[in-house]
Amino acid sequence: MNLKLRRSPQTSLVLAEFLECKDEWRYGYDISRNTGLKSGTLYPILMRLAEHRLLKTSWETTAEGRPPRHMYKLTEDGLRYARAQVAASAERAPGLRGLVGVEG
Amino acid sequence: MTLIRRKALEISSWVTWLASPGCKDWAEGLEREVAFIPSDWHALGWALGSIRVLFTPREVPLRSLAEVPTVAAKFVRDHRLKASFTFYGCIATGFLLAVSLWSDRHPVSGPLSLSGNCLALAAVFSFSLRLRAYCRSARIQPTEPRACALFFRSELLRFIDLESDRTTALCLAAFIGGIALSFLSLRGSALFKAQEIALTFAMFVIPVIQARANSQKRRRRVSELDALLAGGG
Repeated sequence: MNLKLRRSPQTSLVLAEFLECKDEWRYGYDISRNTGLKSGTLYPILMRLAEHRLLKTSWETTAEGRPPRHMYKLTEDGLRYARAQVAASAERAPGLRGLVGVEG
Repeated sequence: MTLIRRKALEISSWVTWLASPGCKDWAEGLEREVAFIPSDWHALGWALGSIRVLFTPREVPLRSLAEVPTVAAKFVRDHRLKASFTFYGCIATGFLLAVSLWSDRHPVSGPLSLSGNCLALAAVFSFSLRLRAYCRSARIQPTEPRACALFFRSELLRFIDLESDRTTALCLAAFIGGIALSFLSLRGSALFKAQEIALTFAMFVIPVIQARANSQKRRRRVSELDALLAGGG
């Protein structure tokens, strides 16, 4: 039984943001700032991606006195899905092309 | 630390405390980010946005097949109990409807009331039979994790069927329709009747929304089990 992942423009934005630096772990606030999505919109998307095993999470230990941060990175499946999804979104809505950084 | 940032931190820690077991990590992640947001007002906005996590309840994900027997045993125990309670609830509702049907023999009641109560009673009776069949068909849970995962999967699917298949939806629709017909036969203005019918619908909206959310949770569990079974746990 496969749960469907909602293909919203916001999800595409988040996926495109991950594709920008696909080998790096990303922080929630940075993704929110770059995509313009509020925490209440961003985190349910991240949770759904993780549920589908498209996103992995980790805790980062930071400098003393600062709390550890939660970090996110696309899995191999996630990268494949992100590329397909971002390209499909750009085709569906050419207006998104610039936003999700798809060329051509 | 400013008052606004302190409030943002308070809201975030409150969200972490209230978050469902499967969301704790996410809520904590949101809370930790507050310290890294330069603007106080943005931090407050971030914390307020994190409240949304409370509306997406999740169960603790299954990480290995070894965890399955305990979770399955709890699920089966809780859901059989839930089905039994619902069964007795149906019996009580059926009894009330039967009493109502008895009073429909009185010439004051119209044919609408009689047919409405008959319809609702038939719906309750059919659903009770389904619940009884679900409770009676108890199977013994295997102890071996893989066999237990398959057993758990089939139990989840059985409950999803019981809760959200076409027969259940038909029973619910027949019950609401029956009650609405009974209300139509009441003496009073059209507005009064409309209010009563709207109230009946409203009474069923919350359990239906709840059932939908629960069904989603169970489907998520089935997906987790599929992934564990495919990966060898």
